[in-house]
Amino acid sequence: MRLKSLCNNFMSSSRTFALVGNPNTGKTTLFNALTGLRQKVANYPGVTVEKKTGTGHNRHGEEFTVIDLPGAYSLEAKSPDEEVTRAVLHGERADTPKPDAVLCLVDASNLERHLYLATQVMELDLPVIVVVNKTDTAEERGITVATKKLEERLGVPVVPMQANERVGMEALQVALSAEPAKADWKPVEGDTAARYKAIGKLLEGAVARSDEERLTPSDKWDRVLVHPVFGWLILLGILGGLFFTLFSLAGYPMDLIDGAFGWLGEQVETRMADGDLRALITEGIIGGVGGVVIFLPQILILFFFIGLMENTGYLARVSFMMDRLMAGVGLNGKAFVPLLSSYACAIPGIMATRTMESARDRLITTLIAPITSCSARLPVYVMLIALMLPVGTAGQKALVMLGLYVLSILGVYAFAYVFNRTLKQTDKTLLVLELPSYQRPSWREVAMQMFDRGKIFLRRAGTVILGLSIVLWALTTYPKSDSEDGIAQLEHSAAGQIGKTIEPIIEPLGYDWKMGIGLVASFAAREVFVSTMSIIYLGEEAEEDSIRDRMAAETRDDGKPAYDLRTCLSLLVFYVFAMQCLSTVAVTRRETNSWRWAILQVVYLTGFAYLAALATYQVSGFFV
Amino acid sequence: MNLPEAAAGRLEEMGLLPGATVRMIRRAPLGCPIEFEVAGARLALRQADAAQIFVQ
Repeated sequence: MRLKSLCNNFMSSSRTFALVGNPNTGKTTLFNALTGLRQKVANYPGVTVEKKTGTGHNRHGEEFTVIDLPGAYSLEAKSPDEEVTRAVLHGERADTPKPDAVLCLVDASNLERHLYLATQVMELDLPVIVVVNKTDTAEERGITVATKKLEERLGVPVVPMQANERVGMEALQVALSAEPAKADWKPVEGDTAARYKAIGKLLEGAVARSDEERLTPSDKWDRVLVHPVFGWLILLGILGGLFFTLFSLAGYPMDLIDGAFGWLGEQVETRMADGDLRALITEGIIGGVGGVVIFLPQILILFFFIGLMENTGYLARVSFMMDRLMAGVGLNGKAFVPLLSSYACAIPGIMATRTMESARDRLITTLIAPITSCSARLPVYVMLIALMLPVGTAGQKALVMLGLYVLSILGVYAFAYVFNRTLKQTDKTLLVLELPSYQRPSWREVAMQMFDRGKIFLRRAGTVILGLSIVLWALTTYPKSDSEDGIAQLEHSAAGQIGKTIEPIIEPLGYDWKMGIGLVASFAAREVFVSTMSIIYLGEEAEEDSIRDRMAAETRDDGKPAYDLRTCLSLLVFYVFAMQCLSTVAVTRRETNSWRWAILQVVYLTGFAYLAALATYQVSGFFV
Repeated sequence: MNLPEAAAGRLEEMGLLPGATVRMIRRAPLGCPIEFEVAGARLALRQADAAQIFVQ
């Protein structure tokens, strides 16, 4: 580690380029093209803005560093992202050295607006290289840019490119290998209009536009994709495909992972002598980590869909179509995808809030994301519904399941409304949604994003879950009793004592101390409820069907079944709302950069879950 | 433009200057927001916000 940082210091003589441009200009594409897989994603300390750096080599084989700065429309920052861009370019961030030169990425179809930022950068006294991207879509719209003319006027390289097709990389490499120069640009005095006027002068005779009204391919796509009828059908089709893949196709790789961890556990069991250490490794570590890694296929599928929609420009249209439905509770269209993702898993959902500019919207979406019915709830729901309706038909069971999903949607809307009313409106921002031209997806880029997100998921969630699994295992194992009987040991363990302690609190909800252990244990992850129940009722070796039989036969002191209709309903309602996922707590902490919101999330959700379950149990008492 | 300063400033930076040409492209399927063409780019604004921008 130390050696590496020493090396980095030696290498610091290499040039650092900052990559600057408006959102949707293809910055990420260019960044990937320049750096390949040699990139690092981190957060700027103190803000939830992603910091991406990477390295590449110029034509002389010298290494250079690229910092991909957040997309910005102007250096007069209006969002945390833009503030980071401004500060880095001014050399004001202690964590990021001032770049040696700037790559200004501009869109050929829309040069005036993109040069607004680029000319501001030129005035910073930093050498620049201008990259005119998406020359192909510009040509489709009848716009041609004479980059040579601009090069003469500015005195710096102006490179035409199609970054997604890697057209123009050669010329850019030439520019990157030369000594960078400052642009021949006189600082603009005055307001926005003055700058636009100066840009107009710069572009005079350098941009040719054909006057004929032509329908671009993008317009043709839009006619179908945001059509009042077909648009919705297509969106529904895509969402249907997404959910089908998430809940059925993902099952195959998930089974494989499950099997692999099971096999690993067996190997340890046959090779190690029985004892606490073996139990820690098999139950605590392998079981716990396996329980998280199993969600990896779903996370990858989700980011495949999101990446593809984002990459092609369709995502902006989804926000465009959904905005009206979200506006009622104070959210905007950009919250739709993060919330949708959360139906698979709140972790990628919360990570996807990064596509939203407004910090307040991001926070509200993050806070309500765990109410969405994530896939980890499914095993719990399935188990409890089976107990609740022992003789019910499949249709009745499906109806209850549907009811739980509806309840979660209502919860999302209600709490979005509450937070929108209570959280202070820091600044009045209005929705300005840019609808970029459609483009062919870059599979490479989609794959890289999946890889990135998967890595973050495994690293962050994995470390937390690993630690917690060990703690939980220890809680159910220690202190040891002399009894060989599993239940007696459990009752004696710390978890058992916790269950007994909280019994008076959960009794009004219809739960006993054993269910209490399940609740406490599943604070780490919801699906732990199922495995905890198997440990509680059967000892370790348990087939799921037989746990159900055992649980159905469980009785209270008065001889009535423990898992009756009221208790099951109450438990189901509790699981709809309760914040029982430490990985989500960790991600919320990371994305909001404060424990405050993470703790608030746990408190409000679990508090509401308690009240809702209490109401369910007590009110249902009048009917049953 | 009758909008908060930061918001108006942003729209100006995006090319929505006094005297600029704005073309309405389409409404979203639910009627709001509305897609406009401004300085060669496509932007969507909510109806209430767009109503505060005065055109001739």
